[in-house]
Amino acid sequence: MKSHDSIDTYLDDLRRRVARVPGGEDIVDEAEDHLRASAASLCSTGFAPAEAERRAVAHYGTPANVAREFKRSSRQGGAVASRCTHLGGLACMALPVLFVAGLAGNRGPRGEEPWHALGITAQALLYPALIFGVIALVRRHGGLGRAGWVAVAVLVISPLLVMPFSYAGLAIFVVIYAVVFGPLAVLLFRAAILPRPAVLAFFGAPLAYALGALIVTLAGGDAGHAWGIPVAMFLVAFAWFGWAMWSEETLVVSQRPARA
Amino acid sequence: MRREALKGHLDLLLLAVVAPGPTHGYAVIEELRRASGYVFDLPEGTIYPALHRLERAGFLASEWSTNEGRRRRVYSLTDRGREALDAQRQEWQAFAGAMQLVLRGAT
Repeated sequence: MKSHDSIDTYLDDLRRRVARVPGGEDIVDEAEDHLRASAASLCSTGFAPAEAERRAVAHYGTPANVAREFKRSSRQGGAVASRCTHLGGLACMALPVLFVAGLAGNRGPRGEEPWHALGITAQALLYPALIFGVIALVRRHGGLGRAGWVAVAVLVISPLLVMPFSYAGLAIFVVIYAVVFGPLAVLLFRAAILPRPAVLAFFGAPLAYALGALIVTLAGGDAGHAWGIPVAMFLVAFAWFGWAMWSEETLVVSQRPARA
Repeated sequence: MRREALKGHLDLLLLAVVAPGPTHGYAVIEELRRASGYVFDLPEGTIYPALHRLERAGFLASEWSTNEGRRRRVYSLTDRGREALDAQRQEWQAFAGAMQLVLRGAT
């Protein structure tokens, strides 16, 4: 077993072990602050500096155990299901239903205006459902807050940004989506706080569209037909997110299961 | 006190220690030790993941400051954390009171 006689060697070992844990450098900085404060306190009670460092390090726990605790903790995410989580789950599950209802209304018999209007209204409800679902996700996972809130802000303003560009706006939207949602996707995937296949489907949809459009074009077809691929992936992902959030049991902070 | 028994209540204890005002990790752990009469003495490295988890859950907030040239993370209780602390404190007191009643009857 490796011995850690000094704070520096301990921190080097810890840094290596938490390199792949989200916020790894912050973990090391916080450990350093703690260990140096602890060693200073021991020195003030009469210990020699080297002995104070050794004792501070020994009481902190081995780097392996500390890293293991952080890995466990990061897998748990920030999930504390709340009323907002459950409402967000409902909104996410409603989204595919609203989309299909809207699509059906749009493609209904011509001349039946009420049916058509109902479809348009249903599709208009997609937007608040989407926003509410994302807000609930962000609130649920506070640690992802900054990336999440940027994503929500972009989601709100992106239609206004792309509106003047007609169909070209869709391409702009895909670029914005990739730049802003990319980091959020990586954080969500690494934290494993939502079903990973759904995260992959959600964030991989634009790529799937690009591949689908390429294949359709090479086959001599209309690339526009490939839009069904990302739409289907989004709808499946939202239904999955919604179910995961809706079915999560509400926990209060002290009822979290203790881990051995 | 057995560590596993303490772990089940660690979140509540940490919220209670942070409640009086913003404080950094080292001070949180020292206060936990002092306030428990030096009974609660977990390896410090296992307490930080709990603080981070409480922050991700929205019960704590943190910001970085600088102390003697080192980065120092300072934690504070959020409104949501205060609500959770109040609710859990009441629940714990009811539980502990009931335990006392039963144990007293057994002597």
